[in-house]
Formats: sequence, C-alpha cells, structure tokens
Amino acid sequence: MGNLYAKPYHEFNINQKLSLQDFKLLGNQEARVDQVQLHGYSKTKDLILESSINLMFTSNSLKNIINNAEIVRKNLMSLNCFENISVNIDVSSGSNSTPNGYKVTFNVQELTFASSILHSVARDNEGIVKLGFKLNNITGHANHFKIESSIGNGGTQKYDACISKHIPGSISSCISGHIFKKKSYWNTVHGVFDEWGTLFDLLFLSPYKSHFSQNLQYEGVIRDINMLSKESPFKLREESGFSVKSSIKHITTIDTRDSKVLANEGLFFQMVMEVAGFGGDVKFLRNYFTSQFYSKITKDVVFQGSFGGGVLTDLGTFKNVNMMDRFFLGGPMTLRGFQSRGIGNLNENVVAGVTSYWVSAVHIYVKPLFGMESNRINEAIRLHLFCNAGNISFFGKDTKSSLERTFKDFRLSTGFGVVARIGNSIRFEFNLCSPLQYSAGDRIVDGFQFGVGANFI
Amino acid sequence: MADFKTSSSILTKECLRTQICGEGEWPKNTVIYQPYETEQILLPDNSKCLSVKTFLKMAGLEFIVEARENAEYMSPHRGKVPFIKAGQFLVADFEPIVSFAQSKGYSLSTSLDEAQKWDLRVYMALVNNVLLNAEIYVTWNHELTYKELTKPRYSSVYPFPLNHWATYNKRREMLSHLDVLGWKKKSLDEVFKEVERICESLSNFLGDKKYFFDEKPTELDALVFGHLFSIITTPLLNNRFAATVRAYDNLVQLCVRIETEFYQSRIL
Repeated sequence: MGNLYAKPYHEFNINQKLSLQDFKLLGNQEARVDQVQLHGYSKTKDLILESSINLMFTSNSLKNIINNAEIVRKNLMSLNCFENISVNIDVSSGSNSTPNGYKVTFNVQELTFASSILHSVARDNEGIVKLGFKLNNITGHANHFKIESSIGNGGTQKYDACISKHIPGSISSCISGHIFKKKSYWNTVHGVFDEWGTLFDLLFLSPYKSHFSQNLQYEGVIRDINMLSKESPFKLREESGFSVKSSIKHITTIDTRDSKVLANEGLFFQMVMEVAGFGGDVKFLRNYFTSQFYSKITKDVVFQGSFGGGVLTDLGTFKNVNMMDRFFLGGPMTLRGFQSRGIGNLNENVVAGVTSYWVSAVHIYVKPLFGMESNRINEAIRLHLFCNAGNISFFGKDTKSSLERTFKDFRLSTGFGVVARIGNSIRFEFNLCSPLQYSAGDRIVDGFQFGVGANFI
Repeated sequence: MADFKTSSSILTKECLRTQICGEGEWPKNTVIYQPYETEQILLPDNSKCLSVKTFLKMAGLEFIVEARENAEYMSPHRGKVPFIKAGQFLVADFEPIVSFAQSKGYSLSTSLDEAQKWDLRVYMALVNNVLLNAEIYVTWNHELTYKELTKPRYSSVYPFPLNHWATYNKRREMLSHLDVLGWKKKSLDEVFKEVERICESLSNFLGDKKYFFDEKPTELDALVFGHLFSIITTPLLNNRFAATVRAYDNLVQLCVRIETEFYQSRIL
C-alpha cells in the first residue's frame, strides 16, 4: 500500500497504485491510530502539543483520520510556532501494530526566534502598511511578543505592542494583551483623534468547528479629540478634549464562508456587545451586528445579501458619549454612493454620529471570464451589481415612532463596478454609484467611487 | 523661512476672515467659553477670562458666559482660554478678541493719539509678558503650589487615570513655554522682583488719573484689571503675590473703581 499525503489544500495526492474508488472504499473501513509522531521541533514544549494531537486517537476510519489530521494541522498552525507542517499517514508496522492500525507523522518546522513583520492590511477605507518585529515562542509555551507600527495612506498611525499566549485544548483559547497608541483623522471636519490604550483579549475558538469563535475583551483607552480648523462643525468641536473609555466587549463570530472577501457560498455573522463605564467617564451600552449570506445561483453568478445594524444607549449622567463612540454611516464599502461617514447633517444643532443605524445590501456577482473553468482571474476579480439601503436615527423616548422614522426615509443607492481581492483579506472596489434617495446634508458621491477595506456590507 | 511663509499666509487668511466678517453689527448671542470658575479655573486662565469679560463690558458688547470643563480643548487655539463664539466666528485669547471687536467697529482706544496708542501697545505687551508669565510660573513651576492647588484643581474634572495624564501633559507644555522664554530657571524671588518692577511702572504711569488714559477706560485697563484683580483675589499658598500688588495703592484703587463700575454685584 502506498503513502497518503494529506496536504494543506484539501487535495489528496494519492499514489498511482490507488484509484479513487479504492480510496473511497478504504476510507470507510474501520481503522485506528496506533502511533502519532512529531518530528522537527526542539523548543516547543510537549505539553502544548499533546492536547492538540490527542484528537488523532479518537479516529475510527481512514477518512476520519485524514479529517482529524487536517484539524490537528490547523490547530498546530494556530499556535503560531511553526512555519509549516506536513502530514504523513502510513500503515503502522512493527511488534505493537494492530491489523487496522495507522501511523501518523507530523513533520513540523519551527519559526525562528525573531522575525520581522511587513505586510499590508486594509481598514475603514484605508490601506495600511505594517512594519515591526516579533519574538516567536519565547519560552516554548506558544507565547509571543510583537511590536508593530502601521501607517495608512489616510494618515492613520498606530503603534502596538502585543504579548500573546495560546492555550490549546478542547476549547482552544488565546490570551493577548496590547498596549497601543493610535492617531487617526477625519478629514471632512478636520478632526484628529488620538488614542492611548490597553486591550486584553481572550479568544475562544472551538478547534473542531473553526468557524465559530468568541472574544471577550477589556479595553481601557484615553481618547483625545482635536478639531484643527475653525470650519469644523461647532457641535463636534464641543466634544473635543480628553475622555476615558473603560469597556468590556464581547464578540461572537460565525463564519462559514469559503473566502473572506469573494465568497461563493456561506454565511457570516458577527455580533458585538460592548458595555462601557467601569471607571472612565463615558458610560454606554452598544450593540451592533453584521451578517452576510452568499449563495451560488449558477456556476458564474453569486448572490450576496447583507444586513447590519446597531444601537447605542447612553447611560452617562455627567458626560455624554462622544463622536468616537457613536455610529457613522456611509462609505464606499458600506453604504455606497455616499462619502465616508457621509450620512447625516453636520451643521449646527444636528449631531453627526448617531445612536442607531441599519444598513443592507444586495449584490449580484458575475465572474469576468464567463463560463470558463475556475482560474486565477475568476478567483481574484468579479463584476458586481449592487443595491444599498440604510438609515440612521436617534432613538428617542418613543421607541415606536423612532423605529418608524428609521425605516421611512431611508437612503438608497445603486450601481455597478469591479471587486478585486488581494490576499485573503483586502477587498478593492471600483464602482459607478448613483444615490437614489438621500436627505439634505448628506455628502453624496454621484459617479465613480473607490474603496478598499476588509469589512464590507 | 518656510515656517515664516506658512505663518504669514495664515495671518493673511485670518486678516481676510476678519475683514470679510468685519462689516456689520456685533453678533447677537455671542458666547464666551471658559473653564468652571469655582472648582477648575487656574490663575493665568482666570486673569485672561476676566480681562476679556471686562473689555467686552467696557465696550458695551453683549455676551453670555458659558463654562465648559473642556473649554481649553474646544478653543480654536488649543489651550488658550477664553474664546468667543460670535456668529460663525471663533476667536481665542485677549488680543485677537480685541482686534475682532475693532474690526466690527468697537474699540476703546479710538480717541487716543499716535503716541498714546504706542504707550498702550507697549504696556499691554509688558503685562502679557510679565504678569501672565509670573502667574504661569507660580501656578505650574512652583512645586508646592502645583501640588497643593494646581493639580487638584486642574484634574478635578477628569477620572482616573486621565487626571494624572492630562495634568502631566499640561504641566509639560507650560514648563516648556516658560523655558523658551527663559523664565523656568528664575527663582521665585526673581519672579516677584519682575512683578514688582512692572507694578511700579504701571503705578507711575497711572499716577492720579482715573484710568490709564484719563477719563475713559481702554483695553489696557481691562487687561490690567483682569490680571491684578485675579492675583489679589485668588487664594494661593501665601499672600506674597497679592501683597506685592497691594503695595501699589493706586493700582488697587483702579481695580476697585473698575470693579464697582462694571461688576457692581461683586465686592473686592
């Protein structure tokens, strides 16, 4: 019998001697794992690895072994200690072997102690370059340290020092602590936002179903709002100065999409709940969620439906929430056809930034090389037709009437364009937009709009 | 050179703005923003706020006072209080406010001749350079005053850990301001010597006149009143600062005169 290699890409390289039928037959046969071997690690402690590997011994068929081997491989990779891992499954031989026994070998290559960081991400319609260095696996317990500085094309600067530790197990978790300093800009109103803060994050990940995760975060941050120009709306100027937010945040994510940017099928749902007011001077309760649903209509046409919304409840008595807490709507990746944060009147007496919003989108994606087999172009670029709707509102005392208002005069825009993917997280959009329904004071974009980011609707 | 260019272009822009808005009446609902008087405001800010309010009262211009804890951050010139919001315009600090009022056609020094106008300018610059810096020195650089008075007052509006953070930042800024002007290395005695000297020259200039320029109050009177009145009335660790000023009887009399004339409700 030949060797079976479980490769990282879900492709199985089967030796010539074994046909696919044979393999299927073999896959359902009873089997057990006699031996698991790990080669190539020196620094990482056994304790960290054991709990991940234990899963292998629960396998009862060859198919199961292969699936589990992939899960174990992913879990080991998620420790961020290894550069790559290859899996080798073979029948076990020797005195201790059983008739249906298999031997699984993981060949791992550890990361070097220190390495540099250089990569790009996209956030809030801004491309960001990250530079820094990290120390991998400092004591062998999957603990890491990194220092990063990021600079965006819109002026955003962020410095971040992070220490993290993975705890593998039936519920694998990752603890991390950050200290950061951030400076960002809102150019339309000449605003500069400075932040100095700490963030503690506890991530729970179910290792067998990696599409479900939960984060529990504590964030303590000093914020400074500075309005540089005399033309800045006075209502926003009134909020300038220092404030402290101390909040606990819970994030639930379900992600079954086959790609983070240009998915064909799947579901994405993220819900964030945040309570601020444990110390500090802003107190609020904030909930918001995003959901995306993808479905393949034909081989070349994909349908996407999205819906998102959020509510913020101010609990403060002395100091109110400011513009860094409230929601903003609009932008080339959310409500297309409007400028970034372009919805809502910024003039006197109308506070920009709102306490509740909803936004929705319908996309029809078409692969550019229609009818052709999947190739690189079809995977990286798509044409799309979209329709966006959304609205903002301030929840007053009368919930019913404010809810009615929210859904009455909503903003509507439509258009078409090109979507491109770079890597597995950056999305580019170049659209011809046409806002159909908007209110006075909105900053619209009637024509071409370019967007880049990781989060989109 | 580049700096000079940008600053001069900003100046021209500012001039243009005041020119454009210049014609016309004093805007209704003019608001003057300042920190909270009882628990937050510090001596240098208090002097400036009082100067501005006195000037506006002397010119007969209407205004509303609004206290905000973040007034110095709301100010168009960060860190400078008070500032006024007149219609669409934001103007911070005493002198810009004076020239803003002038551009609207309200000035207290129109009747002066050229030489007197020079005197006015010289004394105003002197008060700003000496009295203001002395106040800043006592408030931020005098260790004991900083610990006992400045820090508790300045940080009173902030929660932990911002109280330390904001105060530390502000102090650093103020000390570098003093350092640039060469005041940081002075001893307390030297500072009071400077105060004494300016009080003496102001006192000599005032003489027996009702105001600095005879019968009518000018911007200088507003500025001097703002500073001296604040120095006299603000409780500090010891009354040395106030005593230095109180030694000049005619200056105290000036303060009393302006106080009774424009702020009848308050007693010196």
